[in-house]
Amino acid sequence: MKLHEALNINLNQINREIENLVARDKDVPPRSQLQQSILGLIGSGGKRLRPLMVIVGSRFGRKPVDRRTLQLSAAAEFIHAASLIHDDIIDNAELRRGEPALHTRTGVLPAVHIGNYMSARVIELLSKYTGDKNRYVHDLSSVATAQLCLGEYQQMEHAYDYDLTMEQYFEKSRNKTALLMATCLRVGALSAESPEEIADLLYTFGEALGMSFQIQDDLLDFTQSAEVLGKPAGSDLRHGQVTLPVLFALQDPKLAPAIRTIGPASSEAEVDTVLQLIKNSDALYRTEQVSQDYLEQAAAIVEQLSHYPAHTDLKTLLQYFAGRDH
Amino acid sequence: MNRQLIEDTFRLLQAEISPIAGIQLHLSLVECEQLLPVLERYDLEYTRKVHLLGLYTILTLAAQRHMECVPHHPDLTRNILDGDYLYSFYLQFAVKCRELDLVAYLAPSIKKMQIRRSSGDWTQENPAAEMALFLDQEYKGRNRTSKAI
Repeated sequence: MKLHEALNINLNQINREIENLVARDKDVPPRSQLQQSILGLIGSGGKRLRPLMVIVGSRFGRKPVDRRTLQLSAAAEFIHAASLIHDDIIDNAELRRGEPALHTRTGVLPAVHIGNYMSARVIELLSKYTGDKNRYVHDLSSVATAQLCLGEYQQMEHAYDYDLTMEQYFEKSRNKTALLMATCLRVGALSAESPEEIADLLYTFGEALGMSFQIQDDLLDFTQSAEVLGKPAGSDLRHGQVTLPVLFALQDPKLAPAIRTIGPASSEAEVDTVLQLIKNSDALYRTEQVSQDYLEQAAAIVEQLSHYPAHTDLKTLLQYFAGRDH
Repeated sequence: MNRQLIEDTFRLLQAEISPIAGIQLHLSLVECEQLLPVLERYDLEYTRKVHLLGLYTILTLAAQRHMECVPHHPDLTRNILDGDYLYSFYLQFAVKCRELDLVAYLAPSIKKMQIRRSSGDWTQENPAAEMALFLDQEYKGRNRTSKAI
């Protein structure tokens, strides 16, 4: 069963809302490169985890899901997709979800501004919710997006840095991935007028879940095929991203010297050899254990929310994240 | 007076911006001068002038950084990240300064600029003109309210 089915969420309705953000924007010329590029990217798939998390968050509120919650869920996907467009330029990635990356079709400068359009459209849409009590609607575009950028800065600063500490790795992962997921649950809850303390608990749950998600992502780069990933396997190491499996492998004095030789000029064969060394070590197992620890932290929060019927949705999210293979 | 305003604005922004981003905020006097006469035209508190000049600075720098995103440029990654960070910082700063009405007013024009630039129209944009229209509208609204009272 797919995640949205297990959560009993109408994904078509969310997809329509996401598409309408650009398709119904009167300022966007029909069939323009911008419109076609965004619809193409949105239509190429994606798990829609962030919109689903907004909807799940809203189930902890007093009000049923309304238009504002749906718009927030679409906004979450737009912000995520905009960041993917810019990420692909930064990584010089040629593929996204198995298709040519957007910037390879439009050129870099137009692609940068297509991503910007998506962020600007979200701010325009959510600006209609005025007043102090609605300030949270901007959390996705302000705090969460700023943190996402900070995670990217940290990643850039520590490329090929084999002296990266665990703390630095966790902070980067929190900024880059976990806090946007946490914010999705929180704004969903607040949009349905949940108590502030419940929204905060959901935020902490989302943060733990997001950390587990990023660590699993790091693992999948070692364990999955290019076909499943939609991009070349092992690309993190090739691009100098020192992920958790690499950090654990670096603790093995027999592996560390080989890993430390990998740099921007390393050949495919050299990278493949090191990838194999890491795969054969206990680094992947230890990484999996850390991911499990975060899932257990999230599970403990579910227990605190067990008086809400929607706590079963959090369990569903946990099960999905625990069994993710792509 | 203007020099003081510019210095106070940059000092405030630099204190608010994350050191992780490592962005040095700087606008030339010529660029600042586009907004300064606008700020002088209205009876604004000094703190508000600082906030408005701050928002103008962030927006101008964000757009500039993204215009420098040229393939194979050695600073391509930094230019993308700086622009992205500054656009989110703009909203964070506006929330903190309680300038969300301005954000709502500017949102359509900022969006339209991104649409134009995505299709290769690189015409120079001037957020000062839009900010002037916002202040004008705000001033007229305030005048109507005081007359009604």
